[in-house]
Amino acid sequence: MIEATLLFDRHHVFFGEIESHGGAFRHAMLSEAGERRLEPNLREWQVRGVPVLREVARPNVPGHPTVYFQERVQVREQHFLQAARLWFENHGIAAVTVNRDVLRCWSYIAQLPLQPRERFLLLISLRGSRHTDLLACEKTLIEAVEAADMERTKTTKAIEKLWDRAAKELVAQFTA
Amino acid sequence: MAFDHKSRGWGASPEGPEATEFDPHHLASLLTALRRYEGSGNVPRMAQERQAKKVAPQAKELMELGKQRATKAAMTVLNGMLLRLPTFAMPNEEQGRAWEVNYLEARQEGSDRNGHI
Repeated sequence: MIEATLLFDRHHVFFGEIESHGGAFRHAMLSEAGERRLEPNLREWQVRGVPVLREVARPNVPGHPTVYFQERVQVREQHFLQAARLWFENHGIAAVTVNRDVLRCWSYIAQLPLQPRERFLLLISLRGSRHTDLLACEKTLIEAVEAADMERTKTTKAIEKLWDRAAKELVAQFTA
Repeated sequence: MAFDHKSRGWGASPEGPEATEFDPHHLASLLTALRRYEGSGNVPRMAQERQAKKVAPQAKELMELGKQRATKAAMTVLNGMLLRLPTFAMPNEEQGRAWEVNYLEARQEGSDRNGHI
């Protein structure tokens, strides 16, 4: 089964998506912010694996101490996603694993002119919705994106008109 | 009457504050608009920059208003949907992000996971 895990920083800024299959890494798509923060780590993981801190109790040693050690989970292993999620959690990054339907909804949410936090909460809400509700939500999200796009187009035209007037005024000054 | 070159942009010092406090994005918008007009080649650089600076606040205001309108338009469409979705308690600064994620995860998965649901 293919899983998509969406990543966000502590301010809910979208970092990108990691696609895995049965827990093993397939590929990652990072946003600009995600590239800045995570690209070096992802590169390192591909070569050396994801660092995971393990702990073992030593019952045979007096005082039964707990020993911590680090091991690496290779990206092709099925434990990759689990290890990566742990790493993200330890580094203040929220990792939200979603199914295909929610992922499609997210592609529209990401285009909406909302605050990162509002997008994040919308995603989490949709993640808990039933399949039939999701289909209806997707339709609504598409309509919302279209409504926002329409306003953006109007704004672009108004700004172009403003600069056009300014240019006309300037040319008139120097050709008089 | 003598032609005032300086007020029309010629001969103005490029070292002055006008030349330094400048957003090239606005100048680019003005230059794009200027290309549509015959005689735009006669407009000196300093006059272009001055005009760009003069118009920039209006452009910014339009952009800001446009963003607000786009958000309002999207929210109007989403409103009905949001009412049907599960609502979540808003975390505050003291409770922090970990609480929020755990809380949301717990709500989703029906388990405690430190969310104390």
